[in-house]
Amino acid sequence: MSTRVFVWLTGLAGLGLVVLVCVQAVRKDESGALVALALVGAALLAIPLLYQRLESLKVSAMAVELTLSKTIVELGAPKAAQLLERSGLTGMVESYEFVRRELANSEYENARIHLQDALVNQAASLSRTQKLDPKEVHRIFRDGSPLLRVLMLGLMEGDPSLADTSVVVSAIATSRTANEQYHGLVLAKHLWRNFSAGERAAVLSAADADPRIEHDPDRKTIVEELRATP
Amino acid sequence: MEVNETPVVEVNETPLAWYLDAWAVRDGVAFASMRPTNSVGARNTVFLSVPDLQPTPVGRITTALGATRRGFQAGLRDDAGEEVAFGSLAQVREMVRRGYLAGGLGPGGAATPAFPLPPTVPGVGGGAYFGDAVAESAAAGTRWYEAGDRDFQVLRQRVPMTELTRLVQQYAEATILEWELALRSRALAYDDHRRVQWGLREWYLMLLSHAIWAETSELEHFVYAHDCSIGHQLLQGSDNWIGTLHLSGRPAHEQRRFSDQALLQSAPCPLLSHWNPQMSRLIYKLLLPLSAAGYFLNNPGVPELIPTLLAAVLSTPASPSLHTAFGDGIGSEEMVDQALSWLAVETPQVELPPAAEMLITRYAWDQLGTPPRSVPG
Repeated sequence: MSTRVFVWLTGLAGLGLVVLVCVQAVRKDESGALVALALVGAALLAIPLLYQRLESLKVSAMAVELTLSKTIVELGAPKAAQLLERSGLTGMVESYEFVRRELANSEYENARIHLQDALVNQAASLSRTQKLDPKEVHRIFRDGSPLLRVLMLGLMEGDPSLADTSVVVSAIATSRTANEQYHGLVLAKHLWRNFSAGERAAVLSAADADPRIEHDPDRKTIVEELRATP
Repeated sequence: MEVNETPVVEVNETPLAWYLDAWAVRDGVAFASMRPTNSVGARNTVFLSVPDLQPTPVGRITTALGATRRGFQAGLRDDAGEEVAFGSLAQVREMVRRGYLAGGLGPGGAATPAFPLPPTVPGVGGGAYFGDAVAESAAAGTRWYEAGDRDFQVLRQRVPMTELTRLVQQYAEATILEWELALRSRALAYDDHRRVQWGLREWYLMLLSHAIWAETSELEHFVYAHDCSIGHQLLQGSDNWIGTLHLSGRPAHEQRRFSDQALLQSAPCPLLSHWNPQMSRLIYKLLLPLSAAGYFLNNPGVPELIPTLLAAVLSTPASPSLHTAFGDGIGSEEMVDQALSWLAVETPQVELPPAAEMLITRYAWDQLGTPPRSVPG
């Protein structure tokens, strides 16, 4: 922010100099200093115009990762953003987004699910070895895009201490995608033995209230397993 | 996702408020909706769960209704059968939080005691010992509670921290006397006697690790003056428990049979002669103030606060080692000061609708098997 202000102040200074030179030129002042001032003013005036282009050139190779990381930082999770960036996961997510757009037809649905599950597995591997802040993970899950929500569930599958009942119930009851609901149920399975009777009842109520689960063999199987687990 | 917390009035003038749809009180789990009373026409339904009780939208009220078929309490109604309306989600959160604490699974809670101790008798044993300490205290008659003083500022102004710390230490000693007396009474079965004996050893160590005594010499003086047999064993025994504690700040793993929570749940509650005899366990003196907003209003004196303060000291993390507890680091007064700060955060912060306050207070007292009383708790 401060850099941007400085750049625009520089531009204003340049504009001021150019105006000054013009005024002196109208008064027929033709000294060498005036020419030098005109050159300096023009250079300063050009800085704000060139700055954004230079910045874009500087980051073009990293722009994809930076965009997602910035989004995660804006969600209030700077430490998680750094870890995801360093592990290469943000790059994979952006690549997946490209593939998903290109393979939007329903005939590629299984391929898309396979790729998303691969991402979830990568996230789970990351959280098995790296310590993440549960509050940050919850924040990304709560306010993030559908894909980020699934990714956070993957992190929680790798490290169940990141999860809680609210996340599981939200993933099942208000899932943005079918795959999110599936991973919400997988997470419930991981946590089932630690859940209180009330927490189990809440999870099963959320599953029962969604008729889509009944029509999906994978999700239905997990719910039946949960019901059967003492 | 944002949850619109403000109750509104529909165009057709049907008032909307937050209502509990389904509630697992002891588990600290609930569903609540913004809707008209006695209606399933919810505008917004959320799920709340301890520890953070962050309201999570669940989209449809049928999820909540399904939970009532799985053991959740259906709604919350007053004695007249009317649904209790909450003005905000913050009030719903507070209600669920207090219900969870009153159930005994929150700080210091372990649902059931690890071992049985005979009920304490008011004004006898530890109660008499604490009664003497109170009689000597200049703060005994001080009324510290003022409505709205959530940070204990009035208490801090009226009672010196040294005096509070002294009373907390003497109340802790009263619990030991009560415990030692129970062992001497031979009323316990053989197995229970062994468990109670072991529990008392660990209780000594738990008190030590929380800097209840500023110096170990104070503990020695107390033990010898009152001929505390388990205290003697600890101080003179060859198993060097105190030495281990000095090095690590915690008893060695092999010396532990009970968790801190289980000990706190089992510890006796020495009673002054006019105190409620149903308050037989120390933990009640913590759980009631945490869940019933009017507890200190009815018990505004310093002596009534001391058991709560001791339980709060023991609920906060112990010093990393006794080297720091004695001298170098956090001391007894600081532990009590921290406990007061902890209580300021954990005691009821949000005002509940009167019907809800009445119901949660009654529920909290029901956990003790006794109705609320206006006499000192």
